[in-house]
Amino acid sequence: MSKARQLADNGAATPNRNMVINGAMNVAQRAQSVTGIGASAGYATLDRFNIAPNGTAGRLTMTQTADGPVGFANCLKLDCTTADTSIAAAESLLLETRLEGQNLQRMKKGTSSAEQTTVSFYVKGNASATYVVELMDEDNSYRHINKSFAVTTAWTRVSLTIPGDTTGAFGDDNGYSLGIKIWLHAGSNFTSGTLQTTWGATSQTSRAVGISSFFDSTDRTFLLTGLQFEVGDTTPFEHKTFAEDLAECQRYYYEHAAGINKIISNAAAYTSSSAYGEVNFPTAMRAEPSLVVNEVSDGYNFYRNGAGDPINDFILQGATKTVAQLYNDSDVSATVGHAGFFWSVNSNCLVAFQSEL
Amino acid sequence: MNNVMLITDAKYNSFMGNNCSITAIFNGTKMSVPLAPDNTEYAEILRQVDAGTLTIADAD
Repeated sequence: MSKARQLADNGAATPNRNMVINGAMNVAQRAQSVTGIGASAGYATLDRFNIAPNGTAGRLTMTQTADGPVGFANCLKLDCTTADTSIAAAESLLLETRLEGQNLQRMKKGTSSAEQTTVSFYVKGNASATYVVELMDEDNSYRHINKSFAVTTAWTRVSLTIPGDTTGAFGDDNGYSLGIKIWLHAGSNFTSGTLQTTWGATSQTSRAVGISSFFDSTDRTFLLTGLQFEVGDTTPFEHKTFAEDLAECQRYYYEHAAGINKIISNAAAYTSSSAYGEVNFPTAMRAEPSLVVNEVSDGYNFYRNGAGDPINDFILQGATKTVAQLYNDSDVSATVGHAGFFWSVNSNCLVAFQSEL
Repeated sequence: MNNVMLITDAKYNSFMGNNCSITAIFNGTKMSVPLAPDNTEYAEILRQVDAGTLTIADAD
């Protein structure tokens, strides 16, 4: 049998079968490394991967690291920098990625034909540990299913079979329908029951039963790559080009200008104290995005008529999924009608657009 | 289940006398948010306003 036929028979020749974006951990628009994570939730480094801590004193560094199994250039690495061995009941730490309902219709969830799916990934740590993967249905009263997995000091591919769920269809829209969550630390509010290993209604105490604590020691590390979520049985990881990964990530976050001497947009003085410019996005975003700006004193400039107005930041006037208009009306002093451009003049500048789930 | 966002310093921005966006600090990051229901930050602002835990200042 030919190799092509073998791949076709086991589904590996099917493109776009991985419903996870940036599963090979190749795109990190925000930063490659962020320290001190643990006080609040958010996206820190790798695109599409959110850290969600609650109530813990533990802290970690999240890094895009060039330490993957053979065939993977990158992985996501969590490194415990402050331990938390006194675990209160409500404490938790999750690593999660969120999926749109319109990209999940192939699962046929909520029908009698609901498909079996598989979550697979490569993982390793500094020592043996047990954690839990949870799939949570955000459209149907938080139905969930939870599967534990083992971590060792060697890269291991984990494959978890998820039965089809005949209850609760996903919305066919751009909303947050499914979370793939990895439980890394949890208090008794989440561990005192029996692990929910089949799809079922919300049971908080059944979500993270039997897990180790990532925050039990500052020696603790957790490395992950090759995350794949697909209909059917496990197939080889679906590698994409960097351009494909980046374009998919830019639907949710687009770093437009970061650092010094970056073009932001053309601009014009609408009044003597305000100037407006437009930014077009390289791919349509999931929804009208928020504007993320690092406020920097005199960090930006509105250059026009052979001179420039130092400005500190920008405000969003409006946005569609493909274009945004930003302005400044607090630092500009210009002649009405003068055209020019917005430009960054400080290494701390950042103009980005966010449309995360 | 969404994570709790700490939102502070929320204030409307206006253009031609109409509110056009909200600027606020989200978990320490400054953002300017469109008045769009599908936008996650705007939905969370509305949720916290409805819950009585957030007030949005009027535009200048």
